[in-house]
Amino acid sequence: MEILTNLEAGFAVALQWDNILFCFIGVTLGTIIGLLPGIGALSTISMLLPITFYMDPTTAIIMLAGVFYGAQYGGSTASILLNIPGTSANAVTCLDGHPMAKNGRAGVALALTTITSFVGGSFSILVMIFLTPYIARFALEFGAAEYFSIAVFGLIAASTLSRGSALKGLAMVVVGVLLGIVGMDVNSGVQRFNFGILELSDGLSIVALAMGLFGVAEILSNLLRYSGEPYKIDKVTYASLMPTRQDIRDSTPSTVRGMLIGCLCGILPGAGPTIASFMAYAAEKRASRHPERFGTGVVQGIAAPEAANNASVQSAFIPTLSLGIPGDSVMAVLLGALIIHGIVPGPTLVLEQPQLFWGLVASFWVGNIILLALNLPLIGLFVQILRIPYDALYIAMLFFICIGVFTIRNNVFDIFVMLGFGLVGTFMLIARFPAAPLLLGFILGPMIEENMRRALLLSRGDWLTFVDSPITATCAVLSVVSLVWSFWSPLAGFIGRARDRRSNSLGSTGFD
Amino acid sequence: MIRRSFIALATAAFFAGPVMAQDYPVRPVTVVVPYTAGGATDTLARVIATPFGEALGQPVVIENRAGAGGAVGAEFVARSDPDGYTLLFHTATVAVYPTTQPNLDFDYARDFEPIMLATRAPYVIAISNKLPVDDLEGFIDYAKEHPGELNHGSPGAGTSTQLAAELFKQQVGIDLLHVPYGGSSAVLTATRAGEIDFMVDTYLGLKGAVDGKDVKALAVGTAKRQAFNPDIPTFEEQGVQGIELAAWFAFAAPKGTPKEIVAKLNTALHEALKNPKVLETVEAQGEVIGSTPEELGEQVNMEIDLWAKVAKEAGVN
Repeated sequence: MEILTNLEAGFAVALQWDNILFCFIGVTLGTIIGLLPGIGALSTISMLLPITFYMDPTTAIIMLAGVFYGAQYGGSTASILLNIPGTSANAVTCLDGHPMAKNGRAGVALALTTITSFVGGSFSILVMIFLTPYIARFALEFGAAEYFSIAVFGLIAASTLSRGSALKGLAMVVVGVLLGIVGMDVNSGVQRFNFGILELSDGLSIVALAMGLFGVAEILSNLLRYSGEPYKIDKVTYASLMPTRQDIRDSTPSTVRGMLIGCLCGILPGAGPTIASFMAYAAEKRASRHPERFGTGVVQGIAAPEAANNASVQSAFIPTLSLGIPGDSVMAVLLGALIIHGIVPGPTLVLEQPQLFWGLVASFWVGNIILLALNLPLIGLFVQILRIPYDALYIAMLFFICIGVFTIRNNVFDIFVMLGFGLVGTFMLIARFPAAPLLLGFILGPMIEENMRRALLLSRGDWLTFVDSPITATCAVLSVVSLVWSFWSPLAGFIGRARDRRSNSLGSTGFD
Repeated sequence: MIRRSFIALATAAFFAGPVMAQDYPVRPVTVVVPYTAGGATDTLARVIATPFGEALGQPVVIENRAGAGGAVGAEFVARSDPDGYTLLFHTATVAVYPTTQPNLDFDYARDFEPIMLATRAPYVIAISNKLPVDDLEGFIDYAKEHPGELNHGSPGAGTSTQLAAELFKQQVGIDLLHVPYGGSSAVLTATRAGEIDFMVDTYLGLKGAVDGKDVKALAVGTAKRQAFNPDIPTFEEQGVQGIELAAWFAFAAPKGTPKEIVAKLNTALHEALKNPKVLETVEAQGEVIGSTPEELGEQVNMEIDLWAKVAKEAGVN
């Protein structure tokens, strides 16, 4: 019952006109950037960040979160109509979505992905409603040793689960951890690796780093490949948006499996929507009696991954909001946004800022309903956006990104940091080094160090503090298992291969 | 330098001829807040800015230049033209820089013209509910019986909040292990959970936990009880003499700002601090001070020596 009262209060917040408006702006922008290949939710959120400074924090987070989950809706549209994934999480949707479009069933494919997206998202919102307050209350008792263990597990999971080579993933984590060390050490007050530069004494700006590695690198690498022509949209018929009864019957079990896989992947640190959609597709193919028909335009092949990626973007908020530990790079930047607004994510957020937490949860539903309305009838309109010439778009984006990074601290230095990491990120893309583990290492590394030293202070130097509570012991076991698993598991191998195959056939965009 | 003075001269000439204090201000005044937008210091500065601007007859614009515990913004103002159009809103942290960041390129006495110590927010001593004591004397006795066993949480090594707590520990002669966290709210969460036994913070941060009886507030660091919670007794009432623990907020201008302008700013600030909205914000965390420029200068000088001594004794580098 407590949950119902909380939800009611949440809807009271989410249904204020300004929150509806900004939720609408967020999900619309999300749909658009999801649709545009090569522009991710992360760069959009970072660009919007400075605009939100003088907004109410709840409204700000509602809008920024809307961009994130809205992008998953738009992304599938590009996959189906163009055979180019709008975001990397929609890459698998190409495999069956585009053949459906070629078979004259584009309308059905779009309707189905939108509906399964909604179902997957809604399921995770429900899980979030029931799980988050519980985890938060539980986490209030967490001490430094527990946070250390969870963060270590998160980091290991993030590096090993991420893309392709586990070794490259680990290497990037290490680079991220090293970058995270820059600045003042909380434990001693000593400045580390700041090279006498005052601007580095608080460490590198997370927004500058994320914008460089994702936003700028995205733009630069696209420009390297971009031919100058706008995307060609294949002729598709919107004759019927209505899936047949058979379609519904075929896709329902897939949707359910997809949303379960997705929800779990979202909660697990490091997995995220891309891995969720790949795993869901793989599971469908394995479960099917006709695996050979996958790739020819079967509804299972779009329902499962779309339910999965939407479920995972919603459930990703659970660890971020209840523990203050981000599961992926977008969550890391949203976490940064909360901190800029003076809100410290962690167990106390749910309990002390109920209007923010429950308002956000309620807004997810408002946003998902808006997305349903946007994506079904207005899809033809959105597709026109793909006609924007990319060279104009990229220059404009670069410009806004620079303004955005500058505004956060009114500091030109951060722009150079961002551009520097933009070059590094472009190189990483070409050399296929994943950027997401680097960003997580950057966030979780200092968290691990601080909590380890704190735990040892509190235990007066006794290392057993890291294994002697149920939570720390479980995390220690999980960490070891996932390390071992990542190097030998056939599943890890599959994800690696699937990603390689995708990047070979689709070019090497690939952003989480 | 030549170039900068040239620009300064040119700017001044363009706007008002040579710096003429009697005409000041003829354009908006920028107040640099060396912390991020939305934080406690920024909020206070913004509340004061509106009536401050009204009293001056020109708008007061807040500019956030965060970084290095406020040193980035302070250095920016120290290097700005001393024409009264760029001011610094600073905290007691300026008196800690010489101890914790000795390599900084500026010095308060050399580079700033104090304007006014505007308001202060007393530190409140809070302890975990898990401790079997209910007042300050009880806590001091308990800590003395368990030397080195209790944990003192702070928002970071070398922060003014840590040093205030160290001063208290030295004054009453108790030995607690210092455990730094990444910020005040993390310390509070740990104190609620019982991981940390002792902390100090301003009332702004503690209010929710004190009202919800999640921690025990033992004492307020000023001579008088405070309006924000008159139930919290003072140090002196509980037998601890000779120390005051309070965060404070002040305005300063770059060195060389004409005396007349400083006086004008001080008068305008006095006016602004009477504003009901300002009073409401200030009284939720402490009290209005409204000092003279000289008093602010003396306070900073006194605290520079004080914190150097406290830090040395506490072993903070």
